[in-house]
Amino acid sequence: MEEQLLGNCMRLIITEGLTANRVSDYTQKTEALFASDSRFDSVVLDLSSTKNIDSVGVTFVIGLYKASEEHNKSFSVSGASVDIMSLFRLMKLDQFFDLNE
Amino acid sequence: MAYHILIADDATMNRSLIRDVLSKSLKNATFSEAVNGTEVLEVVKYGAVDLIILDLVMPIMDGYETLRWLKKHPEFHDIPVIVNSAITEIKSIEQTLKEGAIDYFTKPLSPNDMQIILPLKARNAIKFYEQQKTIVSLNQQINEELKNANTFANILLPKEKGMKQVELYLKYHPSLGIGGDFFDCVEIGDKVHFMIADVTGHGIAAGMASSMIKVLYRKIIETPDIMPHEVLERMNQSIFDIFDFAGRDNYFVFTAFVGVLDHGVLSYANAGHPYPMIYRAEHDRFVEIRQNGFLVGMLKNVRYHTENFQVDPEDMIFLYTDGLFCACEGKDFTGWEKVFTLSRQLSGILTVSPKEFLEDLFYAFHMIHKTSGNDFTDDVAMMLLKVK
Repeated sequence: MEEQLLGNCMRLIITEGLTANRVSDYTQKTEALFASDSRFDSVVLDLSSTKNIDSVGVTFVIGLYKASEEHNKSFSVSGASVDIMSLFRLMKLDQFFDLNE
Repeated sequence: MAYHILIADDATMNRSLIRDVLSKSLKNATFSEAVNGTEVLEVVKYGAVDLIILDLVMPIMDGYETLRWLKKHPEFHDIPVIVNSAITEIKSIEQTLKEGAIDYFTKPLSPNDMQIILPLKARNAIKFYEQQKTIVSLNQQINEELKNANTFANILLPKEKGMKQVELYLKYHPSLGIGGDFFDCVEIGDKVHFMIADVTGHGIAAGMASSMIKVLYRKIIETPDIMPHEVLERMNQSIFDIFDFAGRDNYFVFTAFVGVLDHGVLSYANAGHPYPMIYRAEHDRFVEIRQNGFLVGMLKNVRYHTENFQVDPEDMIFLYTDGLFCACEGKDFTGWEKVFTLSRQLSGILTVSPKEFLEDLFYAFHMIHKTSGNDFTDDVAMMLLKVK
């Protein structure tokens, strides 16, 4: 997972799958990010390089959304594939955060 | 703890030297000796050996053949073998290490070899073997426990026979003997209540969570005239009331589809579960039940809603979990449309034998995964209700 600070927006780019075998690593990094960094007031999860997602990956996205809320930062997802967007809509996650193409 | 070391060398002096070095440095070690590979096999067959120091050039059966024999037989495969030979060619060293020797040292032994290197190599090899044995023993215990858990999980499954208003057909394939997929179907009065759920993850923790869901579900549907959206909302609320990690550590998060069949009316609510299907017998076609909903256990105070669908006798309601179409390390959680396509192709079998339909659909996905070099990696649950 790469982190890019663009102005006051923290862009988190998932470069590999959003799956169970990788999520704990992502979770550790995002927890460290929220604990240490106050330079940003919005979080964008960039899924443009992500093809695969599983149920644990979905709970990671929701957890990231909740952490952003708790730290008073806005949250959105960008670049998700059509399939992943369908999945997020199936779970009504589009009611909680923006899904940008 | 006592260790038994077998020293195999056709030269008496070499055997004595190694025995002398190791007996001084390894407390509680006992020794056997062999002059060729055939004697090595006799010793290992008749007693426990924790380490073999193996010469390569021996009469009757040399060290290479002995090593290959040991590694080919599962009961001796894990015994560590340290090769001790005068052969210094790299190809020989490479070959023996590839055949499974754990280490290699050359003759003649230098003073450092005798005082430091050989004792350390021997000690490390024995420690490694002990750890291997512990792992094997723990694996056996775990497998035994998983078998017991699987038996218990099968007890929790709904019974296919005995329903007045529907015929019930089930297919359950847990990935690790016990899994996080759950389904239930029960008649209460004139109504048929059913639910399918998929807990995040799989294995023992997910299996425990699905057992709790069953108890929770059965308790909640005792409420007269309860609607599917209320079932989901109560389950969600109960999770947050009971578990202080709810919504945080994601141990108890699941998708679910809840339905109630009452005199030809199917009422349902969905919590992020892959869309079930209804086979309309009169029209010979499948229809997807497309409703979106939140996962259970992730967010407090979420609302679900109930929709209704008219069903007729001979119609069939087909529900499944995502393990059916997901496979490989980076699972594709989004391929549920394949289920719809394949189900349509198998509809001819469905009308003749719903049980066979489930088996054929399962096999079809097994073959799809196999052609990609994969197999089922998650639990698979399928439930089919045929309206009488």
